[in-house]
Amino acid sequence: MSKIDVDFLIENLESLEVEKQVLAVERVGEIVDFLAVQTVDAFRRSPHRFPIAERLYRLGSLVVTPLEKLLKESDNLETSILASVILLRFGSKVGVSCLLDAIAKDEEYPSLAASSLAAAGIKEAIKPMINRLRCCDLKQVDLAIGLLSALEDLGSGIPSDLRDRLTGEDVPWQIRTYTKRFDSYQENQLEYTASEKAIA
Amino acid sequence: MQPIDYAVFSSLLLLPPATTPKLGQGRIFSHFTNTEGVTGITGILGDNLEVGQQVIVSELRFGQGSNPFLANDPGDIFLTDLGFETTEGKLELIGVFGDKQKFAIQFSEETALLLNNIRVRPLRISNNILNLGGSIYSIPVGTTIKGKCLLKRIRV
Repeated sequence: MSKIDVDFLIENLESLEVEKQVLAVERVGEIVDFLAVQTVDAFRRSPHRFPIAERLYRLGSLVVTPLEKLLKESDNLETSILASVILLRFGSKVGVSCLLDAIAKDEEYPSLAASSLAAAGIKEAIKPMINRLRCCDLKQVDLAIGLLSALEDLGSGIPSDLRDRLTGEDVPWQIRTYTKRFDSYQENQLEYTASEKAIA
Repeated sequence: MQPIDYAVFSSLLLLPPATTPKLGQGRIFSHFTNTEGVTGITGILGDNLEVGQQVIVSELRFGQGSNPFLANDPGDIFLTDLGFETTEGKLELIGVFGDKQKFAIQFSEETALLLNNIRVRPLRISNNILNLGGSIYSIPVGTTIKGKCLLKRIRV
């Protein structure tokens, strides 16, 4: 892309001549598209992708197409997970399978993947979350808490065997507290459902 | 919340720099912020604190966060398990830059979860030695935390 003359562009945008304004708007469109592609490329190359990904959102839906392209081409797991999270926030579901895999296997972003899928209301995520909770090391407090939070957001129940596992005496108190909080949420849901039925 | 002239309360609140008060069970979470953030969250005029000074605070009121995207909802507040001693470089790795490295506000997992029923949601779990940054967490926008919390000025 040729050098951008911002002053000239603004001058034309402020002009009352339709041709100047229209051409300036077209030029702005080209520039922001170009910058979105360059920014996504910077995200791909950065060794510190989390803070970059955090700020990609400010570019709005312009990043969707370049991120979808990146997701197809990337062989870096962190890049793929973060790109999938951003895409999901913009309504693109092309990275859902990547996020489901992250819940099952990833060590760094399983909680982010779970909460993103929960925020999008994707119930398909419940099973891998429960499976991971069934087999994970319960010394991984953040992993368990992150998955329990996402399950709660999805309004899911937890099987009794898993509840027993998460409330054992040797389980860290944080996980036991989250599980009990989860129980009271489910009790409230049951009470609510019962009262709704009674009213009906 | 009205800003408090820290000098008025210094005899009550000031802790010797070497003192590490017990904030409660579980992990300690830190929220790094700038002068405006400190005033908004604690009501204390941060500029009146010397570097290294720390103050016990009984209530934190978090407004809108500025890096909303990977948090669960727009405006959620970012926390980390990195502590007061964290280097500028490590804070930059988790996206905390410039004057937002000046102050840190800390509270315990017990204060958040047991006393205030607040979910501290993990976003990035840092559990390997290759990852030089800390873990990153979020709490909802508008969270109020009551209990024993600690504010410290870390840098000029």
